[in-house]
Amino acid sequence: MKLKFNALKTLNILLIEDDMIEVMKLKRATDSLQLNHKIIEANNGEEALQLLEKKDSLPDIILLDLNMPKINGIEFLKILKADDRLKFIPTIILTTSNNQRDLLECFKIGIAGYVLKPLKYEDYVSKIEKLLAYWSINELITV
Amino acid sequence: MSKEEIDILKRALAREKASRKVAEEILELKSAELWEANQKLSRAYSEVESLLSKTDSQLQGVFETIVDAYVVADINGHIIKMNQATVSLLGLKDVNDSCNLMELVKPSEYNNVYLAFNNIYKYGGSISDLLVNITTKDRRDIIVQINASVIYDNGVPIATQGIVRDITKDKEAEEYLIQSENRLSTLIRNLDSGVLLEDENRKIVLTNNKFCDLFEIPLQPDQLIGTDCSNSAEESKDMFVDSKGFINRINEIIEKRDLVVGDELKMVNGSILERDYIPVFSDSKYKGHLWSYRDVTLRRKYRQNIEAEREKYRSIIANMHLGLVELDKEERIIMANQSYLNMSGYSEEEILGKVGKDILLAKADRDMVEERMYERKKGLTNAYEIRVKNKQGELRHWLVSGAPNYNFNGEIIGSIGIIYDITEIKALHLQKENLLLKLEKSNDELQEYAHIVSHDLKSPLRSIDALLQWIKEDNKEKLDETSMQNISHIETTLEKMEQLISDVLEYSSVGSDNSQNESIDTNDLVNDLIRILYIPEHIEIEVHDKLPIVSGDRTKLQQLFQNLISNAVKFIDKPKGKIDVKLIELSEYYQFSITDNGIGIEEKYHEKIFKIFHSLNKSKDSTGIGLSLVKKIVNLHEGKIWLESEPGNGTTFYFTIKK
Repeated sequence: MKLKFNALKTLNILLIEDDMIEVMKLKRATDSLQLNHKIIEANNGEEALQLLEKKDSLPDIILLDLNMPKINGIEFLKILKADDRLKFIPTIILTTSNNQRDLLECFKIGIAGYVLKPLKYEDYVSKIEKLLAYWSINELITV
Repeated sequence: MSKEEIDILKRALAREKASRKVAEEILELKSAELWEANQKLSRAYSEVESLLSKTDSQLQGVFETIVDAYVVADINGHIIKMNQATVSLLGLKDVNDSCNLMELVKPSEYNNVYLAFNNIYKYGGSISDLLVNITTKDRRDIIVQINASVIYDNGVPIATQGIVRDITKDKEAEEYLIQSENRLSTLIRNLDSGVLLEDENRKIVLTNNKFCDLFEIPLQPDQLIGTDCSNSAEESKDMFVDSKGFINRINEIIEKRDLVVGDELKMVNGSILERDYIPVFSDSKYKGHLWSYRDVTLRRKYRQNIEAEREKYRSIIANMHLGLVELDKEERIIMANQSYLNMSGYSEEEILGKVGKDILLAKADRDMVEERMYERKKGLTNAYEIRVKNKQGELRHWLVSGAPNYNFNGEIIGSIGIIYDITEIKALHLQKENLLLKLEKSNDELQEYAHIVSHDLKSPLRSIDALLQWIKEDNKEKLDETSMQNISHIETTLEKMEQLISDVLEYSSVGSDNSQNESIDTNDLVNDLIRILYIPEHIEIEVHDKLPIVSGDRTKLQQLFQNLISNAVKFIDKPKGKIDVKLIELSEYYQFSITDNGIGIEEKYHEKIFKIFHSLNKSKDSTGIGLSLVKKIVNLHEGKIWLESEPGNGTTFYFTIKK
């Protein structure tokens, strides 16, 4: 198992999430899965946009929560997709909302995935594992 | 021979000579007389002959030029002699043409004609005015009148001569006369004037229906013929307002025998009659008179009626709440009622002669109104809404119904508009629309809100679960049995909480109508559901009837059946469970029923169980929302839900769905 994971690409992940425990969850999950991905945190959309200004160190993928203060997830997504460079970064929605309207809207704007946060932590770990494994084997656009 | 003898002979000779001489002289004389007589005779004969020939040719001329056809025929009917008139009458070639007259007679009349001629041959006499239908040589059917007599030779009849006249036209004229007489009498009988013709003895000769009507005579006009009228004025005087005057006037008229036209009579029943009197003279001898009566009540009242009608409509127009405006061809106002003035805010003086749309119409509607006016000039009637600025500057909404106005010759002379101020209605309408929009928006917001709330509520649950797992992981050896059990309780509670939030969200979503109505085969839907749902071994589900295709929302209908079947499964406490799904088709609804043999529900709860958060049995998988959701879905499909239950024996849920 370990060997297999090590063979995979190390991802730069931008996690945009206002909930502190959610951040802890992702970190602990990747830790316990012994994945070497680099997680960059942003507590909200504004902060994330600031981080993304540095075009030389862009993340490989973005994990985005929808319900956030200030700029919400969908607004952030629109800004992202309007940018000629940033629009190529795969953005995966990570949320508890299974609102059909949100789902539709996100796919309309352009997302690379929509993952519901399950109640059970162990289910969460399992989903994160698969998600990151998938993106680790993907070819991504770099600068 | 002796001398004596000779002398005797000589004397005898001399005597003889002398007597012969006398005889010769007599003969000579007689002969001269005879010659003379002969001469005379001869002269006379030639005179007679020339006379005869003269007469003959004269007669011939007469026959030839006579207007009527003259014909002589032998006793068999063969023409011996005829004139030109006969030729043309009978359609022959010329006067020498041969023809048998009997062949022209119509077969039906042949016998009659034969008998008539036979009669005069036998007994003499002549035929006069015999009418015969014949077919001429040139195939014309005509009626002829024959006058004929027999020609005798030494007392033997050898021929007939006669005059033949074509009276076809006369016959037609006669018939025409009869017809026109009939027409005339029908006309008189049904004339709208009462007619009474009396003879010089005041006996009725002719009258008609209208006369009987006017004088309320309960008889047919024919029954009155011959009736004496000398007392009739007296009899009918009471029908007239001025009964005395009525009688006096009639007597006066009859006395004078002068034409009277247009006497006016007022009747007691309110009718007004007009009477004419026409005396009839023949060869300046008085032969009677004609009365004619006309009911002129309507005509007299016509003007009055028109005035009244006009007044009526004037007052309707003036007082109605609809604005009425009449425009000429140039769209100038030529008439406006009070309501129109009130609506527009202008006075009559201010508005008459002005073009309404110039002073009232909001700019935005000009093009539309011009289009409508154009249509109206082509004869179209139309109705449309316009926005108007009245004199006070207020914006008003008017509903205009316009129609072209025609003159008596059917030419368009302008238009008439009826106007209804719909500003208030419009405002209400707008208000309603706004409210609907608002409602829609707030429904949307509520929906959003429910999602956000559920998200916000669910997120902490996830955090708690994660934290719990970490506590367990980080303290694997340190936590005792009780603590581990408590943590497990917390986990269960979290799950319950999660379910509750999901159910509430679902319940609130059902109302928001983004549902789509489509045809759903409930038979397939229920059978699929039975396959998918977890149904324990000891429970049997049976669908008894073929379930119908209904119009509804698939997801919701699925939820409806799922909740009811799951419920049934959940509350079965018997070792052998049975769930029956049945259908009854009603006129406007399908009635479904789902029966279980479970624990049953006490009647006092039958209403309550459909209320939200009203779970009777608090259990891990019962949030108390399921049945309220079911009720909501049934209501959305315009149906009802109710139940019958015997505690301990089972429950039947019934619900209807509109066809």
